[in-house]
Amino acid sequence: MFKNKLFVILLLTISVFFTSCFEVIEEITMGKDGTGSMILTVNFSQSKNRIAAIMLMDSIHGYKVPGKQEIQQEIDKTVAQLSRMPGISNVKSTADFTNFVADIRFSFKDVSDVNHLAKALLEQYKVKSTNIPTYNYNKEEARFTRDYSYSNDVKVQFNQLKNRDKEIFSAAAYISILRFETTITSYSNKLARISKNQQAIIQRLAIPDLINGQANISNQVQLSK
Amino acid sequence: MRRVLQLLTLSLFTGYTAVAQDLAHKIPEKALAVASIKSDQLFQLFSIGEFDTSALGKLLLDGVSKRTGGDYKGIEDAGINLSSTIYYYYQKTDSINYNCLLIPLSDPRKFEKLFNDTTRAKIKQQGEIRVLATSGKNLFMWNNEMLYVAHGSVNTYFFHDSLTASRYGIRDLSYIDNPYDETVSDAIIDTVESADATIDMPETTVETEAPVAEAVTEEVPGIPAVPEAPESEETMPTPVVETEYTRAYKEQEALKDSVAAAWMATYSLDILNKSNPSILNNPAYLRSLDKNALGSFWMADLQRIYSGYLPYNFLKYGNMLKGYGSVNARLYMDKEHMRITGEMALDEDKADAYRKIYDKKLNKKFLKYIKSDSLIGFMSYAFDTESYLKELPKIFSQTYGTFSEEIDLGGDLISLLLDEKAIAKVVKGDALILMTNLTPRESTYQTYVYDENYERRDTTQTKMETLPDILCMFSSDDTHLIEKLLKYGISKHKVLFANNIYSLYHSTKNPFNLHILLKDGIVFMGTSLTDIEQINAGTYKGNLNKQQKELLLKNNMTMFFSPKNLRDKMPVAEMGNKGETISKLLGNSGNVYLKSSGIKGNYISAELIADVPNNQENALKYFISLFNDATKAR
Repeated sequence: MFKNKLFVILLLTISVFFTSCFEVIEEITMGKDGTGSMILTVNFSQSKNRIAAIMLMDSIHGYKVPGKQEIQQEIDKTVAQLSRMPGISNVKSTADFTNFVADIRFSFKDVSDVNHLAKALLEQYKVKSTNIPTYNYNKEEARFTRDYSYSNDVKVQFNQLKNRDKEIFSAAAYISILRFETTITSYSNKLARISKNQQAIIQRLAIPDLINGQANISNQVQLSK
Repeated sequence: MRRVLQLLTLSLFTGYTAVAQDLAHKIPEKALAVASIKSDQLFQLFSIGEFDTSALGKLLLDGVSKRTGGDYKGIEDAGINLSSTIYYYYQKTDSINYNCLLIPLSDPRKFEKLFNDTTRAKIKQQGEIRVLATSGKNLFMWNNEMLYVAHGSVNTYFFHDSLTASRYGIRDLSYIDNPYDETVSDAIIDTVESADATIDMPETTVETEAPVAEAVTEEVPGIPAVPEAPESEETMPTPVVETEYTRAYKEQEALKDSVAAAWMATYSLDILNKSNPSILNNPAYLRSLDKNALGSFWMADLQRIYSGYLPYNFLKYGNMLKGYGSVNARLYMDKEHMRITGEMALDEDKADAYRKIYDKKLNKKFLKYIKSDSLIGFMSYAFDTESYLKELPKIFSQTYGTFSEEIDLGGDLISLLLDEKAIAKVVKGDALILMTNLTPRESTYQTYVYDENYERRDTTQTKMETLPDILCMFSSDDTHLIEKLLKYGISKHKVLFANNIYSLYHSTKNPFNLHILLKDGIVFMGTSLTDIEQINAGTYKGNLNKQQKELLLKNNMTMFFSPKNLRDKMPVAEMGNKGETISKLLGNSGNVYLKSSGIKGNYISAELIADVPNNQENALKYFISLFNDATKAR
């Protein structure tokens, strides 16, 4: 037991020196008929040494550290839940425990199905969040919209975290890519960038900006008919 | 003869004044814990004048001035005797627990001015003693020499006994169909009267504050108050509408508080007025004292405290801490060091067991691998593995007294299965872990690049990470088993072997590279290949200083940390905006040591020492400046 404690002290010392940052990537590919697919990727690879060290401990900062099996079980549970959602099909997931990258991908009949899905997932994990984006695709107008309104709740909840926990988010990035079959004629969010073939749009921002309400991810994309 | 008598009288008189100033004789013999701080020593390190003008002092004085409407320029204005010792003690009875402070006063009139006008109006005089009950749970009493502050909390289970509860007019609400009726107010009077009768309350004129009928107060003077509602609200949720139940509950709680207040008043007056057997009769307490210590702490036998908290039905497990006696600690601060020394008493059996376990010294061969001038920190321990394995069952059999036979049998079985001698050959029981350096290391990670049409491609990038270099060593007379284990690792392609060195490279299960070398009866494990290669070739040059050599060889357990060496190697740029502040904080800190030399007499002891840097006047000023720096770093 004594030796184990020494080991934990060493690990803790080591984990202090590792940087912690991660990226969240959301990719939506839209078909003309309103169907499409989505990939959500969480990449902790830049922090892999820190996470590897943390995963050898039972708990950190008072939080229990889940084992590989527990994480896999949670992912499997989410996949099973998503498969049962109306309009959602082809749900798959991958988890790489060497680089600490996980993704979940699925097809949808209508992009609005994603709105229900996000709500159900947040409920499952008991996350109180009022500002999740909602998606809509108007087939007749060939217009894709992502509505997002910032709510102070997130900031309030974030501020309740301890400083050392807040730091986890300090270097985190969020990337959103929207891909379409037809060309984009206009888009409302000036922070987004359009691709060379004019069929995709990218927006990259720092997660702290999203938490503090300094960045907006709303966008209205008009496609050629 | 006359001269002798004169001298005797003089020394007696001096002795008398010393006792009068020191309040330890007021601490009851049955106190479970005592802490003290010598204000004269404190203010020698940090003069009163300096304190008054310091940031902390100003904050305190401004606060007091604002609260009382007075103008406090210095801490001496509070009327506290700043050249004496302040005591805290804790006493537990079957019905109530007391947390008390004993503070010597130099000028009680000055002290009284600390209260605002409304509170001051509530102060009552009783003979030479002045009394102020700020709530049902807190009581201030003082005379010309001392201030006594008591905080009492009733043991909830005391009133669980229905017979006891009914003696005080307290009812168990859960068994009452209609929990509230008008007779409750009568119960208060009954209770107060019965409390008075039971504890033989002396006549005092402490004023009640609570909204209890005037008649009650007049009939029973000296019972300090059925407390105000907020006290009881702390322990229960605030209802939107007060139900009959909550009303009755509040009244029951108020009743308990009034009983407690009466107990407290009697208890406190007894402390102030009478000369009772004091803690000074306890040799274990006397052992904790040292005239050079700035502060001291003493706690009664751990087993006595532990069993005091056990509910009755768990008493069979009551031997958990058997054999562990009182604990004491002292704090010293001088120009060069801050020291905390601590001791725990053990009974004969435990002391004997630990003496055998601690009968081991660190392998002297370890010492040539220590580079004192650049070392960040180390940790060492030396236990006798064979004795440890043999003594462990005995230690357990004491702990689980009721099951001692079973534990004893289990212990024999373990002894039969284990070959203690053979195990002790593989792992002798001593180890040294050094944090030698911080080295930047290239680390790869996976991320993505996006082409012109924002299609995603996986890519691997590199970044620099700073990792601590660790070098561990432990003694082994028989390395066959370890070698076998490592060879198994080679056959499974987990371990590489070259030039006598076994290497495990970092993976998800192992965040750092680890190189292992078996040489001269020592197992070396290090994160730096260069270090291990040099040890293997015999070219590793250590430079152990005298102080660390002594620390390691004279103790069974040590820890050392050099904040300056850490600062010199720290990657400030990698650490973001706090890097500079942390670097400054470490640069201003002195070395820290922790050591335990095992059993002396029947006491196990440990000591923590922090060196005061040369630019600091003394330990107290050093810690105040560190505290200021750390607050800025937040």
